[in-house]
Amino acid sequence: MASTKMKIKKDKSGGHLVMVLVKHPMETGNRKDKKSGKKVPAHFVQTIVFSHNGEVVAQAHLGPAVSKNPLTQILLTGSKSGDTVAVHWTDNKGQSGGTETAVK
Amino acid sequence: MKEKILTVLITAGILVLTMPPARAISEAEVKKDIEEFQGFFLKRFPGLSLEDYVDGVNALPQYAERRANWELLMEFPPYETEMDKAAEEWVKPFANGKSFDDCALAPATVYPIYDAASDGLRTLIGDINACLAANGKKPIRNVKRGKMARLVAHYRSRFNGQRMAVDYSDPGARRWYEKGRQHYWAKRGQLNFSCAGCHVQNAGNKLRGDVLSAGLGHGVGFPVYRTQWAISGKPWGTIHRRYSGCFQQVRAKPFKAQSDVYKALELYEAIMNTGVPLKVPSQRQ
Repeated sequence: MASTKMKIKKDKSGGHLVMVLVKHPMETGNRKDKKSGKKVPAHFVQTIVFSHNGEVVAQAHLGPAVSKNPLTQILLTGSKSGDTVAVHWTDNKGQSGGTETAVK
Repeated sequence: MKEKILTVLITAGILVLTMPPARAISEAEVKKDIEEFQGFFLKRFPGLSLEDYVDGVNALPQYAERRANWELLMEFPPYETEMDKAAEEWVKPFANGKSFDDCALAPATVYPIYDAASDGLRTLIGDINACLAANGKKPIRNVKRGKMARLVAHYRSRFNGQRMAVDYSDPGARRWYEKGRQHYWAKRGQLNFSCAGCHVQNAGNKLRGDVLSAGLGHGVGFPVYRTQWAISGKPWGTIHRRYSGCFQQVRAKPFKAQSDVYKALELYEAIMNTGVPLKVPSQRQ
């Protein structure tokens, strides 16, 4: 169901732009299901952790205000070709996911 | 005897003079139309080449502020999962073992095709449904959204980068072209707008909060994956779905998808886009 996609682009400032798309429904808990009329339980990503060569460099704390399939982006400095960038996310139901890519 | 011959000759003479000849405009006239149409836009937006128009409204300078948003969205194209699904649907074999690859489909760059035998236009959608029928399957009824749009998107995307080259050498094709041209430039609906009124005359100008796209480039990116349609759960649309939408927007009664009017319009737009490369699918707001 949920999947993570990452893209790393060279930025003109010298570093690298890391873009992460987390495919996630991001339910607020207030939306009513059209067929049953009942509220769809809250299901949203709470934390996204970015690591560069194993070291945590950024953390994003999201909430129900963020909409479906959140796209987050960080500007990495001091990064060079061959470095590993990993992203790991967890949601309010305890589910998690992530992915890892090497900088080209 | 002499009277009889005279009567026959006179009747024949009257018939020949009063019957409208099945004439069509010349190839030269169509060619001139293409040059004028494309020339108009190339002059109006001097920084754009013919190839730039594949991105539709996103290519226009008046859309520059919103283009950055579109480029970010396109880092992870929203239609990717759907296109993977389409690729699977295309190769899935029918009950008789054949699949869509066995259908006699023409290259995407030459549709709509004039069929002299029926004096009609063949569209890709019509051919796909004909192939399904020929292989003992039911044709797809919803030709505006969903599965049909996905299949068309998959097939057309195989021709990405190739340039539109619809054949209008047959006078029958040019008769259909003329119908399409007439519809494109005729005013319609309560708002009394023509396609040209917005997409030629006012291309790049604002219509409420949106920028109007140029007529040049229309159709080369279809089927389209629209964010607006994704909200209601039906993101895919064929060009006839968009035509219906446009008709409704000027408060005119829309025609049915795959109707003669829409096919003629599709032909006109395809010919106006001669030389523009395909980029399927397209993502629009």
